[in-house]
Amino acid sequence: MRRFAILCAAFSFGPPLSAAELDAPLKVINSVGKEGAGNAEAAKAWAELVKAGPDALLPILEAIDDRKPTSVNWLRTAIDAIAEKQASDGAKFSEDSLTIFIRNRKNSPTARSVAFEIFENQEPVRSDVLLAGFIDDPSLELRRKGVQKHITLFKNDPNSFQKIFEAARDKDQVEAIAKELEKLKLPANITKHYGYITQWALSEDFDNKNGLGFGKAYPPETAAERKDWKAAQSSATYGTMDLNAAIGKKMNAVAYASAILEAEAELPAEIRVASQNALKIYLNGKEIFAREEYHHGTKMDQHVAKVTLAKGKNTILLKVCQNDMPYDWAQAWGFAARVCDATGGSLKLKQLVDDKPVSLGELAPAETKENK
Amino acid sequence: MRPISAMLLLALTSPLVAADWPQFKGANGSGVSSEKDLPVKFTDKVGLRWKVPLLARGVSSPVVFGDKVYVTCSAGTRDDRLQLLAFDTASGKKLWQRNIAATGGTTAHPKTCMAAPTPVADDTGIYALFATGDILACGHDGAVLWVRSLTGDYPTISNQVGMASSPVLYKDKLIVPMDNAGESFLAALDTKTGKNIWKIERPRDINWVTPVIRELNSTNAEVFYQSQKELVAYDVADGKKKWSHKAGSSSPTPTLAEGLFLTSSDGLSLMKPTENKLEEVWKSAKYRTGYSSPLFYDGKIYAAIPSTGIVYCIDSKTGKAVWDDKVPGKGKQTFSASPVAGDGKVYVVTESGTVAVFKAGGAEAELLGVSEVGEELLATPAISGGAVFIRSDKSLICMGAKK
Repeated sequence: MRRFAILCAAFSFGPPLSAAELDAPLKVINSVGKEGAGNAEAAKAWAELVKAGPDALLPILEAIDDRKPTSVNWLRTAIDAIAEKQASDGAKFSEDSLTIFIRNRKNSPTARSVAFEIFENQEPVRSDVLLAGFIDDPSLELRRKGVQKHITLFKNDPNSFQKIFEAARDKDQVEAIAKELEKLKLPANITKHYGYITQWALSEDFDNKNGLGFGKAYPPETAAERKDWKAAQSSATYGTMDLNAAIGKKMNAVAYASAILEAEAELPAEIRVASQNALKIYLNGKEIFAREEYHHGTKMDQHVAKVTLAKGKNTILLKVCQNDMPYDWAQAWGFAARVCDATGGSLKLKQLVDDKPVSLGELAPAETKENK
Repeated sequence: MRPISAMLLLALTSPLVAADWPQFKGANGSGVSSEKDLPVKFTDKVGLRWKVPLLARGVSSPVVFGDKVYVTCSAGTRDDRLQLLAFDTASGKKLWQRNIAATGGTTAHPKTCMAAPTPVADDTGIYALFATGDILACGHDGAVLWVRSLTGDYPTISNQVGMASSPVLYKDKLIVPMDNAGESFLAALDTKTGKNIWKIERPRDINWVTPVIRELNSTNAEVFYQSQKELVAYDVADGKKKWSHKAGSSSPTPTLAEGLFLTSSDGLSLMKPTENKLEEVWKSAKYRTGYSSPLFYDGKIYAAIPSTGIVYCIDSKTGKAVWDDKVPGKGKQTFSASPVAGDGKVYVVTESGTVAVFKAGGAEAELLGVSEVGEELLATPAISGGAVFIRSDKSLICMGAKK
């Protein structure tokens, strides 16, 4: 907290508050619990923080803990109120303090992004110098700005474009850069870039009449031995596995898809899945995600399960359930899945197919550009 | 909080006080304002009090309370940046903005977004629910009263078409509709703290209907909540189910007006609520309003039929059409927003940006004014302070005389 006080002292307006005075309301807000627990106290703490004015900005930013999303929202709105008052007073926050906070990647990605927004609003020209440094930022908001800046700066430099492609995470940016690389006849493999699992072992299908199969543990969930599973490989850029094509068109059906990934060391990861169907995700035999929703739409990375991959083999099992809705728009039965880091970037993982290591994102050889 | 009846009384007896438009479709979702001298058209030069850009999208309606008009927006590549904004009704000046991050999923049909439910206001503040299950409650000065993450509390909540049901208020209770594919419920939250007063289980099915409050007397009220299978009346005091009626619809929202209940279920039905049931007055399969909720105004019903561009004026006693007219404008006209009314005028907005004002009632349709916004209009307008507040995908517009 000593550093907070030093940074606070750098602000131009108002006497700095002691760290101890701000600690109490920040602690109250960071203690809000489930179902509104602590809200009444948090409202009082919020008012105290806002009353403290610009001197409270950095302590609030420092207190943002991305593991506590409700508290983050409380704190984010306190910053809004303080920044509005500053703007209406015609006052400015310390540029140096903001820059130091933004550049320190040990700070919360959310807090750094909020700090940059304040800086950007305050100094649209001078804040621009930070943009290029965001190219590989853990904050997706900042990384997006960094990628855009690099696209502008290095428009005619093919080598740089490949680096920018590697850094990009947002689909629109990745596709735009890939298109430019394609024009330059340089490689840009979107499937590998995102770490899609394209090779799967598929089970036979099981019954899902009246949706009961979703909650029923069929043998693939319990049996260690998996015989007679069928190998299938996606040909879609975004890794879509069409179960209607791979297994056969079925209604009221459950299918399982399994893949084994090998990690060199234990590492945090995210398993991200898109599917129109009810879905469960298992990692190493443990259910880590369940969503019983059919044909309400899909998009990339729709479902996210935060996990820790074990060193060595990790078995991912997906349970994908189809219902019996007769409409054309309800016939999709499939999924797309990838394993990535918290920014959505691919990890150094190998997949084991027939006990042989293969790279993630290898598409079926026949088609490589279809079914985006 | 001011009771709804007290607010209406205040508006009716004091012409100097603007009638608030505190929730989706105004006071208790009636879609009707008591105000007079409302405008019928505008251009950039005439009849436009102000127009301000909105930097993010939203299909929620503006609400007006006192001298402030509120809107919600959602922004960002992932549509995960949620905003509540307050503007001055006289000048359009932005007074404050509060930003929170989505804590729930943001998958939705491209037509909608995370700023789909309309906020609701009372004396104590403004309560904004987002399609992510996040709720932000603020005082009218922008001070945060409380924050909730419903998906943080109940993680299976999910509607990947996009949630849009709006919360409503009854005294110190914020009634939150949360029908979805996961844990579904109707809950009353304490407006002071955001804590659950009661929470009752609902069928797991997606739904876009906004609840309606029926005041029985000064202390008792029911909340009507319709879904695909039935309409249920709950006791507002404790959430206990009182009775249900087999009239299913997941959109649009029913209306309680003139002691009658207007609802959609395979067309349009007019019902008479009794102590523990609904008695059908008439039913017609002809009037299918899609997302747009029908309007009950001064003995007539107005139904905007999507894809046809046609507005029907219907005799509420018989269900027979008195007149129908096609909203003029370029291209195919269709509706997502609901018609609203006041001062003997019915306001209809089309998706392509036409604002049409019909004279209410009459033997034949009479178009009083047509204005072109040139921007997509999916949100239901709000009426307050002699003006009509129109929210497009890019702007907030105040149609009315300058102040």
